[in-house]
Amino acid sequence: MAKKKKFRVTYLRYAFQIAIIAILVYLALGYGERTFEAYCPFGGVEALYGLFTTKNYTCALGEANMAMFLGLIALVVLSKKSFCGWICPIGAVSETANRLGFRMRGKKHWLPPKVDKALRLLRYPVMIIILYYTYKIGDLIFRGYDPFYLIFSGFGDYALGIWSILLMLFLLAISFIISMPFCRYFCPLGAFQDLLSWMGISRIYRNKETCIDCDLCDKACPQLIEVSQKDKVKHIDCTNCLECVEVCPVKNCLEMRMF
Amino acid sequence: MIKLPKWALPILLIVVLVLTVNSTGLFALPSAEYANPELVNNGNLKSLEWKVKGVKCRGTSQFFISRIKDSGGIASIETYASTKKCLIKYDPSLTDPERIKQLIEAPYFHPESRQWIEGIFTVVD
Ligand code: SF4
Ligand code: SF4
Ligand code: SF4
Repeated sequence: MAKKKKFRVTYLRYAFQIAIIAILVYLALGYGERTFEAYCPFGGVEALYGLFTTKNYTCALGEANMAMFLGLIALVVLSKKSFCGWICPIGAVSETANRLGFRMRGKKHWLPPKVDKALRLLRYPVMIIILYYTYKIGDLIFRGYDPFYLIFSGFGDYALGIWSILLMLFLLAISFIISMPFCRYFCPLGAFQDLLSWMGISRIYRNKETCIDCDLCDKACPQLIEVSQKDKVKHIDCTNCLECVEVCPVKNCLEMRMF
Repeated sequence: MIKLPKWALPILLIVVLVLTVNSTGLFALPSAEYANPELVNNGNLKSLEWKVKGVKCRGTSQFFISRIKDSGGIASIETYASTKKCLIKYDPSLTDPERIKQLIEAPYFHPESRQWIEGIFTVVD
């Protein structure tokens, strides 16, 4: 077995996530030209109906949401859900919580696969309901339940008081025993990315000739994808986080390829 | 099939993020706008560009416009809620920046509570 050289790209990923959180905190504190909310790509999805019907942005949405939305589409087509794995602060927080839970209790995910699979479908009706009411009412109705808004606004004006706090505590607590619950079951932006993620042109490939079936890649994957069973990872939830590539003990057994 | 080195993805992300942030201006649209047909083509108009705290959505943008549009001398108003930027064109023979600022920041009558309420807008710069 050829030994791998060490350049830990995952450290770069953590640095990326920390830098994004720092920028968002800076914006949330009122520095910068726009508020943190202006950079949520889901705002671009929410803005579409208003743009087509009244040629205006809905509520507090604006040009940065639209730019981020188009940037997100480019990213998903180029590299699947890498926005989730490298940029989104909610993904970073819940992945970290789950990692801590794994360290403490030795298990990542406590739900049976069948239940997990069924629950993962929830994010689609969640996305449809949010978009339907946002388009109908012309207001950002999701804010009171949206971890991104609630955390960075410090449970601001549109929080639903104690309910929003309880919801966030609940999501954080279950992140220790369920891998990324908000992302897997509820996130409308994750659901939207699913529409394009399957066609993402860069993905992980496994060389089954050199694979030693150690399953380390499966254990490392925050999305619970069974990398060791695949020739290439087509799964819509793959965030190209490269955790599997990093942990694989065989040189060039797992690698990222384009097309 | 092209094999990608591990550093390719972070580079791609940085490139897409930089392009995205720099293209933001291409999608700018006013969150609300107003034009007074009697004044808007007047050749002697002056412009103000203010950042106004309190202009944070379409609703507050429309309220902002309603506060000054009928005060005399206002030719046009554009608000951009995401940056709080407000562009005001006015006829200097009918009004002036000090008066417009006062109108923007003044208390207003709240019909539901039937009370005078402290203004929600502050001209920042
Ligand atoms: S699924 Fe949603 S919350 Fe999770 S990382 Fe992706 S965008 Fe963020
Ligand atoms: S398959 Fe690999 S790159 Fe994709 S999410 Fe899992 S660990 Fe990350
Ligand atoms: S970590 Fe590498 S060697 Fe081990 S099962 Fe996965 S692909 Fe095969």
